[in-house]
Amino acid sequence: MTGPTIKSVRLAAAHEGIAELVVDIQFDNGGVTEVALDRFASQALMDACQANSAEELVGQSWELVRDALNTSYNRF
Amino acid sequence: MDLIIRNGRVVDGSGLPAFVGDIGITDGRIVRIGSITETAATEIDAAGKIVTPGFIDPHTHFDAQLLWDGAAKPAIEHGVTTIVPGNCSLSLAPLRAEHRMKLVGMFNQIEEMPPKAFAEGVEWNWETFDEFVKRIRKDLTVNVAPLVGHSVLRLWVMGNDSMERVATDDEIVQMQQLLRECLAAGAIGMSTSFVDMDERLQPVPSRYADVRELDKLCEVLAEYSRILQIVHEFYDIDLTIARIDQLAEISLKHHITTTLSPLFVQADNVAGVDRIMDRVTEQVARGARVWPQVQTRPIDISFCFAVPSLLFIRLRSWYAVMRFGTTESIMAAFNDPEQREKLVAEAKDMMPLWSMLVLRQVKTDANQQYVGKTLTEIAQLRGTDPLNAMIDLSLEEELDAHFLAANMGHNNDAKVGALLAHPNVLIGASDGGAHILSFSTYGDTGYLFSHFVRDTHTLGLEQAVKKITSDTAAIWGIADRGHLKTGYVADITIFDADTIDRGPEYYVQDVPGDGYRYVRDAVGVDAVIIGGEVAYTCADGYTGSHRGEIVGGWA
Repeated sequence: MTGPTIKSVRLAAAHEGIAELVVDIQFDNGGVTEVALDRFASQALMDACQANSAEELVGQSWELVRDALNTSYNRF
Repeated sequence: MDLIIRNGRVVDGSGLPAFVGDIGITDGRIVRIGSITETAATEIDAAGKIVTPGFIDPHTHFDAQLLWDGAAKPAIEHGVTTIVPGNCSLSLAPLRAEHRMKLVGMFNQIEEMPPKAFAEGVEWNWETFDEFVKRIRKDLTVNVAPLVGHSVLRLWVMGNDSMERVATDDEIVQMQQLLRECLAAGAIGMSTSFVDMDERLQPVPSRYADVRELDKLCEVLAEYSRILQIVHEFYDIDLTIARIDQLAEISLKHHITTTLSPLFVQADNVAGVDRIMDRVTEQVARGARVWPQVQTRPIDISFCFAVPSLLFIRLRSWYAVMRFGTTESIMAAFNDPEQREKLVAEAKDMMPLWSMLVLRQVKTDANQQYVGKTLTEIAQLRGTDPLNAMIDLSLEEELDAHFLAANMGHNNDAKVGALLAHPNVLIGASDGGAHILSFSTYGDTGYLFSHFVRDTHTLGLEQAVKKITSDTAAIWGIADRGHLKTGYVADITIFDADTIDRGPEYYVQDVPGDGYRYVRDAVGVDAVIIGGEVAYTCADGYTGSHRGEIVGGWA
């Protein structure tokens, strides 16, 4: 797979006291950025990747992360 | 003299070393510090105790509570004598009658203040900021330095269009004039938000403003030398840095102070906050006034099995059960011996987490005895292990058992401590009075002293006091408070340095409309004096004093 991919995942505590999933996205040039996903975006991403646990997201394309964020945003 | 505090260790807010002395008060002001031979109508023996200026909490949402509770309980018990409500673009004034329910919705969404509390606890007898200030002033025990919210300025001028578009030139001029009226009536500054959502989960009105609108409003803040508070994209390092640059340009152009809150230490990206502080330091070196606010307490994660939580996203079996689960199907999985065995076996890898979980809330009488205990303690009482105790309790409560995982975020002691001690950081962001159904926003000052002064020795006592008194007063432009000095208003906190702390969190029904909230009691705070009168003692509670004032900024 080419293009930015998920390098690692971890849980984080959001300001409101809820759990969020943070994914690190690695770019081809070595740069890494992190993206926080709420429950809805995380579930959308898990579904899109047919993942059964968060670790299975590693290696997936950034485009799926983008789409999952859109899915969460567009649910309203 | 009206009041003398004798023999205390005076930490005067300047950061200089403590000294033993007496403090004399007349007509609400400090008239002498040293050795006082006179007597007074009221005397407090503070021998062995610390005597400091009252603490100032610069990021709260007590707006609604002040309408039925002029003491902003339990803030005062924790030593806080001045609060700043109206943060995050939201204040209760100015507010036209037709927009009241809109604001109730926003307060419910953002601050979890139940609409029923407004219905039963609020007599809506104001529209302008001046009318609101007069409405709350008469019953104040705590001092209030109110911000006016950018979102409500927009709502007043633009109506529903405030939630759809940028403002016209004429509307900006109207907002400028409205802001002038608010500042003249006692607003200490203006708050805006680049993050918050309203009750429809759409951006709050301030987020529709363009750069030009914010600039024009800051022009008015400059006329009054008042502060701008923003909620930035605190979850993103790069966007935070961009906001710091924006605030720096505003500060340099208009010669005003700006503050952004909250700034957190991310659990697995602790270096990110170094980048942020490097940029703050650069901008401060340019002469900009940009103050990030950092809270003392760590972030806890709350959950119950009735609502899906990402806590289980790393566990295949749990995720499969929780992902599409209804209450019935989740309970069925917990009740099925085979599935339960699988769930328990998988979750054992995360056993340190489960054993530390605290039971926060249940609905049955039988399980009330376990509230506040860790799952380890509950498991011992029940003769099982923590994980099975969590599942059993959830079944008994039909999944309505609420658990808390403490210290899950903003919990790197070294990094948070370094931030709190940083000369360019403002200690604050407690969110007092907000998120009342999720967690307690009280006791951050006690936690500062118990954890970062007493336990980790990250800050000295005098330094910690200075950070939450005179520094805060200077940054916010609060005159005559924040120091123990002759001529200053006698807002004073007396506490025991060896025991001051925040008490355990608990759930209490004391919100109008039979509402609940999470609170914490204070530990080790002996007395709090506001405006020269004793407002609270740990021995007798609140005295009924109403010497709180509206504390506007200096012009």
